[in-house]
Amino acid sequence: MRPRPRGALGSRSRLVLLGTAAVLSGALLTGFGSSGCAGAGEGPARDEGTNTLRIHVAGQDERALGPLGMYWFLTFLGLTSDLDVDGTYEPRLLASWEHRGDYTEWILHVREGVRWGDREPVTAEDVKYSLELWTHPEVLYQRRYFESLEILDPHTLRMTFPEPPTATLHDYSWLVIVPEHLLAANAPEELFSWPFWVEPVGNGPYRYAHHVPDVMTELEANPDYYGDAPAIGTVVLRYGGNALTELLAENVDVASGISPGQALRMREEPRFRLYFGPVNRQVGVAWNHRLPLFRETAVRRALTMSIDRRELLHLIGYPEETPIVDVPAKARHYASGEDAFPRPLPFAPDSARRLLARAGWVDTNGDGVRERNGREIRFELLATAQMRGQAVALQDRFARVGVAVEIRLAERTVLRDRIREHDFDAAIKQFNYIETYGDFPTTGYRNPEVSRLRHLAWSSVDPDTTDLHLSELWEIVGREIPITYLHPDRQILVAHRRVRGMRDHRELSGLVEHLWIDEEEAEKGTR
Amino acid sequence: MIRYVARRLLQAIPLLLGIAAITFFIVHLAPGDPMDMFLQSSARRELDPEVIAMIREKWGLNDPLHVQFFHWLGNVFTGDLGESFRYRRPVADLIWERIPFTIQLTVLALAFDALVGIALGVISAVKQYTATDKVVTLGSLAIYSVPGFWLALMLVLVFSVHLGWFPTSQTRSLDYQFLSFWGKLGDRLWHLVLPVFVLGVASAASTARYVRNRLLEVLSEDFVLAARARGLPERTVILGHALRNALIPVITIYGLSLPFLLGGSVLIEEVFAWPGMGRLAVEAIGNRDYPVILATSMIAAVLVVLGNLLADVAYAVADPRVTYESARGARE
Repeated sequence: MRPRPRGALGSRSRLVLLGTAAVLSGALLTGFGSSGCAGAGEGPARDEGTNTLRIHVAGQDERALGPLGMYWFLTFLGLTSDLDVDGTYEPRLLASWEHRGDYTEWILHVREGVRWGDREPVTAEDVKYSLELWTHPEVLYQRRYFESLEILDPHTLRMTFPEPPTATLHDYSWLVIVPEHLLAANAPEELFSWPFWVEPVGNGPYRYAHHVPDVMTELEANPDYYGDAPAIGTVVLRYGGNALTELLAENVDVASGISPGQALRMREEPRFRLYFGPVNRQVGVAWNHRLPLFRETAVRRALTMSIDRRELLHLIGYPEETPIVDVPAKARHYASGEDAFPRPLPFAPDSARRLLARAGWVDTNGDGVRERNGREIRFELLATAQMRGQAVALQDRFARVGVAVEIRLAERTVLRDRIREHDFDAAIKQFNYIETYGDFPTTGYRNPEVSRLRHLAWSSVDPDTTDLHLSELWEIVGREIPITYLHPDRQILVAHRRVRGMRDHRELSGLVEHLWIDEEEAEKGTR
Repeated sequence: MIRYVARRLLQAIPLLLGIAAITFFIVHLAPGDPMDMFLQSSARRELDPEVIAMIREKWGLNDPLHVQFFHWLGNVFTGDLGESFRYRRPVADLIWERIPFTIQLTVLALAFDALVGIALGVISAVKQYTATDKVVTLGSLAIYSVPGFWLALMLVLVFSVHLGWFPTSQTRSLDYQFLSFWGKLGDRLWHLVLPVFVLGVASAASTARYVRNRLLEVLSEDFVLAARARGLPERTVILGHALRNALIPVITIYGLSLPFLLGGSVLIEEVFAWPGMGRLAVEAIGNRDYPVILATSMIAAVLVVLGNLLADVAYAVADPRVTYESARGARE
């Protein structure tokens, strides 16, 4: 056999090297084709001019414009607008509507002159198709409250209900109205997989331009939009990454879902401003009314008065003017300020001590914990890691009035499980205002009058009627304190100074078309 | 070899079935309700309880656990991994979209580990007891001790936020599709630098120390002395003879490190917003997205099995003195 030249590789070594090179090349070129990039290679290179708004989108990808995303309002018109701070809403895709006195029949007028991105007109057929699609039994997205949808003419339809609905038209504006002529052939059961959500054809203030999978979606101002053209010409939804990092690196202009700790950090940055979105939920302490301790109204009131809720607001970085309340409330109530609420229990630890003493809870052995009939006032407080700060603050305040608390942290789903199974003493959780999902009964609180008033308030779509019953309900709840509300749960947004038009108490996706960029303002912040 | 590989694969089937059963029951028995995810919906609204009850019925969550298990297993054998509770899309689609990115990160991290780790190990062994050796040894120890996610955050802070040399996250730039072929390649590499470095550097530190020790052992053997006596250049002695023998066990370690790199990539994917399987798995656990949890767990189990098999085969291939049957014993 001919000797191998010095330095030459054997066949086995060559094979190994070739294989390694192939694997590495394959790894490097993974996803290189970037299928799904509409407009790839066409037109000039993207110019991120000064009239571009870059929004950080956490936890989502290019399906953020779909029904499970947060930003479909940018490309699709809802039936109505987003809620204003006073709880009212404006017509949007619907130009107007009428209803019978008992609300069981509605006539909806679809706005004329609105077109889809392919220039086809938006009609009542699209609305009917979409509402039926979202309530389709295979889609399982929304319960079909309505009985029938009948098209009266190309821009009018009749919606009937078997009984007066509790949902308002605004509640239906969560359902994306989509082009029937493009989607009717698609299988409803595969709705969430439809490619349509990645490259939507909409009718909103913005239209889809192109996307890079898992990286971004670019939207441009819709020239066919029925309303005023947005001042910002281009919106870039940028997916993934840490919101704070992306803001500080100035990769994005706006980010939502900022944690209170992150918000405190951003307060120190002159380049940015903080905004607080609408109140989606309230954070409070659920007392387990099945335990004798928390069945006593005096104990619940005493514990509530021992908490410095202004201190809690400061702890989480919420504005000073945030109302302190003892009652379940909607976003519009919070937006109206403290005057909209009955006076809450004050922070009064001395009064709390007197209340507990009158109820028989006294520290007889001097260990700092009150007892009654030989039993100490001691309980376990469940909380998620995100609410740890609040739990520690409560533990400290309770200790000062002679109540011993042990904090137990639990994952969110575990906490809900334990509450649902009544396996808890007290728990810090978020409460949905509507509470048709049973937060009061879940805690074991029973009051027939409260149940009656709650049913009356919730079953009316007329805000005045709702408020009438709410005021009576608030009187009882404010007295009995079945839940101690600590603070509202508001989404925190951070925006660069260059972004103007941002407002508190509003969702970002509803604000975008009203925003504008001010580069001069941005300069002031960096000086 | 083919018979050996086939036998090992057949033996893996009952193992994987056992893993599937254990994983299934543990996941379903853990506290937490997957339907809670709908009560924290990202669409700013909560689903009607009646709809949630219908979803639960549709997904068979009301069935007895053993019924659910056999139903799931039967679907898996037909290639149906189920539908994600969170994304409402086929799990297979989600994994198909994500797994290439995890493989990309893992393979390149392995390559980095091999290149840098072996090079440093050789340098350290050749320069034993010198300042270079001390620097490499101490540096390896330091890097090995640093938590990967902390290193990732620090690198992002320094090189991305403050210096702006590298991107903070993601796989491509915003204007990726407007770039030329070479521009796209460069863009991908630019985005890979930090995540590959973070994922590979700890393994490289470990590899460097292992290679150093092995090489020092081999350099003291008779055949090395004989090679030197024959007048071969020192470079040929070390790289052509000693290193080849020192690397035999190192090669097999890479087969075993594959699943560990996959696990390590979870945190890295989170920091760099890398759309890989690790992130998908972590999100699924938080949301109690059972189908995704089960699918990703089974993929990890398959990788462990394949990794072990690869290690055994590689060991036998690299060292002709070792048979396939004894490869596992020799490796252990």
